[in-house]
This record gives sequence, C-alpha cells and structure tokens, in this order.
Amino acid sequence: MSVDLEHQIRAVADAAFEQTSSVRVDAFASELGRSGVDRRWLAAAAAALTGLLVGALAWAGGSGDQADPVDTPVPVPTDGPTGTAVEPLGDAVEIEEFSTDFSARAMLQEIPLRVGASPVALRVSGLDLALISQVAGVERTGSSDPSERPSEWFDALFLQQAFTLPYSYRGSLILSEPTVEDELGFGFLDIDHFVSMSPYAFGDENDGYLGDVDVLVLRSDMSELAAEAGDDSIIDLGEGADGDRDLDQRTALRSIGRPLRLGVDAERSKVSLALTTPTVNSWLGGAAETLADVGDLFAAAAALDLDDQLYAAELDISDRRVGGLDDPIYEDGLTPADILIREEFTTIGWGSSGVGDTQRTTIVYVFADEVAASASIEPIATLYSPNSDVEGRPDETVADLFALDAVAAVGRTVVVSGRVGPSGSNEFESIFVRGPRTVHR
Amino acid sequence: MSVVDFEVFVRDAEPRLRRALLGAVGADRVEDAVGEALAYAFARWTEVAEMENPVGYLYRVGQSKTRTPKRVRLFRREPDSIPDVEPGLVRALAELPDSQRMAVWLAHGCDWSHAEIAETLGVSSSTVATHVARGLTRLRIELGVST
Repeated sequence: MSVDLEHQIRAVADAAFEQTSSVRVDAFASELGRSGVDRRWLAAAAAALTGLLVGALAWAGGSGDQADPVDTPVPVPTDGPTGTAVEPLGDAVEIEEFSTDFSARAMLQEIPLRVGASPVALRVSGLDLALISQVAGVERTGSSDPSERPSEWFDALFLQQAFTLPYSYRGSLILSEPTVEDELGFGFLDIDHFVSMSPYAFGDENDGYLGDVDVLVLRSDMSELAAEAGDDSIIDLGEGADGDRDLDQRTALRSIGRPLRLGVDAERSKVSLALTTPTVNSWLGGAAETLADVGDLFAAAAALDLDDQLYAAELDISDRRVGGLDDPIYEDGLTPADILIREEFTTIGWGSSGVGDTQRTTIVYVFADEVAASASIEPIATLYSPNSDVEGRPDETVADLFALDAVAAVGRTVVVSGRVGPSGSNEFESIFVRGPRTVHR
Repeated sequence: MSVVDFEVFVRDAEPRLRRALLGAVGADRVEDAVGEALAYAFARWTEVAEMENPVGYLYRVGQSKTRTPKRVRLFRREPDSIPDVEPGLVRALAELPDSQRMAVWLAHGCDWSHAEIAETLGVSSSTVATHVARGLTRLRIELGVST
C-alpha cells in the first residue's frame, strides 16, 4: 500500500500546532531610558503599543487558543527613570556544566530534587568569585583571619559595595571563619564559584531537604580530598547519623553539632555539602531530577541567563499571597493599596553582572501564563519606578537604590532590567527580599 | 530600533517559530522555548532585525535554551485519530532520532526549504536531504507502508 507520507506529516503538524498557544510579547521601554534615541518615537510607541496589544489578542484568538478579551488598553507608566542608556544584553549562555561555567540554570542543575517533589519554599543563590575578581580587576588574595584583613580583594568585593552579592549561609562562614577552612580542607581562596540552596522550612513540606545544600567548584588540587573521601566519595564531618544533634561537637561550620556530608567529585573539581547522605549520594550519582526540572525556577533562570556575564544570581520560590490586614507585611506601615501585583506568582529571581558603568541587574517574575504576565507589566513598572517608596526606608525611594531601564513581558515572565543605584549594591536586597515588590494580593 | 517594529515582527514570526520548535522540543516545552527565543530577540533586536532569516536564528536560540525531554511529545492531548493519517505515524515521528525528526518536521510539517533548514541547523543542504530521506524511510518501515 502506498501512502503520501509527506502530506500526512503536514496533517500531523497542523493538528499538533492547533493545540499550542501563541506567545505574547508586550514590551515597555522606559520613556527616558534610552540615550541617543529620539524620545519622540518612544512616546509614539507607547501609545501604539496599546493598540497593538488589543490587536495581538485578537490575532492570538484565531491561532487555536482563546485569549481573554481586553476591554481597556494597559496604560503605560509615564514617570520613567531619569535616564541612563539601556545596555543590550550580551550573548545568552548555553547550559554548560557548572564546573566549567557559571549560569543560573547550571546552578539549578546542581541541586538534587526528590523525584516527583514540588519545592514549596526555598532560595537558590550563586556567586562566581572568579568572574567578580576579574571584573573588579583585583587578584584574589587574603585570609579569613580577621586580624589579617582587609585585603584588596576583600575590600573590593565586600566593603566598597560595588557588587550585589546574594546571601549564602555556609558561604559567609567559609569567608569569615578561619576554623572552617581547617574543617573542610579548603578555604574561600580555593573556591571558583558556588551555589547554595536554603529551604525556608524543614520537613516533608520542603520535599525532603534537611537544611542547606551547597555545591562548590574548587580551583585547587583535589587529590587530598579525593583520597580522604575514599570509595564512596563522601567525607563525614562530625560523627553520628544524618540529622543527629550533639552540642559537644559544635564547630563554626556545624553550629549545633550535626554531622555534615562532603561529597567529592574530583574529576569535575566539585564538592557538595549537605546534612543528609542521600542528598550527597544523589548529587554524586547524577540526580534523576534537579531544581532545573521545576518549570518556574527554570523559566526564571533562563531569563537571567540572557546576560552571559552573570556573576551573581538568586532565585526564590515561596507562597507570596498577602493575607488579611493582620498579615506581617503590614507591620512596617504598608497598606493593602501598596500591594499592586494582583496576578499570582511564586517565583522571582535576580542576577547581576558588570561594575560601575557596565553594571546590569535583571529581575524576573514568573507567572502562570502570558495573560497574567502582560497584566503585571504596569504594576511591576510602577513598583520599580524612581519615585516609588522602599519598604522600611522612609527617607529613600527606588531611585536611590535601583535605576530602571525597561520592563518587558515575554511569554509568562516579566523581566525588569536596570542598574543598582548610588546607595550601593548591598542595599539592593531591601527592595528585593521583602515588601510590595515580592508579593501579590 | 522600535518597540512597534518588534511587535510587528513577533506577530508575523511567532507562529512560524512555534510550529518549527514544536517538532524540536515537544508540546510540553514549546511555548517556553518560543518565549525565551523572543526575549533574546527583544534584548538584541537591533541585530536580529537586520538578519535575513531571523526565525531560523531564533529557532536555534529557543532550542538551545530549552531542556529537550528524552522523549518528545508532539501533542499535549494525543487525538484518537487524525483524518487520512496512518495510525502510528505520530508515535513513529516522535521516536525518530532528533536530527531526522527535526529535518522531516521542518521540511514536511513546516514547509521549510532544505536551504532554510540547512542554515538553521548549521549543516549542508545535502546533509538535510540525507536526514529527510532517512527519516522518511524509517517512518515507512515503522508503519509498514511503501512510497
């Protein structure tokens, strides 16, 4: 029997395509954010964008999926920032192995996930110390012994506030506590880059994680660590079973005396630190699922990885609903009117690259679908506009901390791009970690 | 560069890009792949706007930025049957080796020319022709049909 296979393949493609949904793109460019560009077209583009948005929805409705009708166009915020040029993002990074390259997606790939689990609340932070040193133009030297500080490197990274750095509990211990190097067998000078995962809660609701998980890429020789690890590639720091507490075994690294498991992958110059042996074994064996398999986290990381010079990234997933008037978010003077984002989201992230004039910071929100993302452009742009308040800092506005360049919705993400402002990178957390920018009604 | 121009480009190119990427990354990931490709295009619009084949370029971007599942699903909800289509063709298509599936899908599912496919996949036209021919042969063997 002869068949016209080519036409049948076309029919299959037609049928499959009908089940997909169009991806909407609604872009807002700050009216004053592009130096060297005639600002008259920006005003015209802003007005035209509303018409195109309605048109795009009508077109999307004929592409095999029903889009919600829009009765009124989305108004475009007019209080743009006072003007720094939008820097084009660099080449996107491929998903390289974490030991050879630093990226937000590679960070996620290092954290094992219990098969079938759905993370409820955790934070993933990563830092590329090698790249930061290169950007800062300083040689990485120094000591974790406070009496020997400051070194030029330490001063450039941590005292001059030129870099936005994510928080890592064990990372900060490795940096600040001299005894930690003795216990681990390596110190911060040996670390090329690392990722830390911190759960917000313990127990089943946190999908099997018991405490932080860290993966560090070392630039030093690992033969001693590998020899100490032995056949199972695990070094036990402290005695006892997973989770045992023994206050007699307290150290700077193990504050309540729980044993730590140090997994050693000498071939890839990586180590992992976790409180449970299964977590480290899963990492050593190549986990069947990792945090990169969590769709919202991966979408956020992919948006951050548009910047291929990323040296710091943080991804956060948690319940972001604001409750009633007794919600703790209102304790510092916020009111329900300050909560502008109405569409549900659980995942946000930020990433940074460059220093000084080349500094770039990207913030990403991940919504359920593109309709929710498009609906959230305006409130997010308003929250990051220069005159917006900063929660807990009554004498400052966003302009003191962050210079907004653009807000765009692509698919189901909203991406905010800009630069950390004059108050310094360490203050950036004030507008990212808490407050109306991180929650929804 | 103009946001309006970008919106016009998206309106024209998005369906073609989405259809093409469907065969590469599957129904579960195609929208995210398209979204990531368009975000990349937005960030580099000045450069993308000057390209001769921007959809082909963004196909590579979307494919590279998406974790392709071990087994691609072409449908979210596989139909019981498709009129005038051999039973088993959907499964056989999904099970083709990646290079053959993508070449066959782009050539016959999306009506791309061999030259366009070659430029997009970074191979020669003769390689595309080989992938297509072998893919079709394999499909015929799987389905037990002849030309």
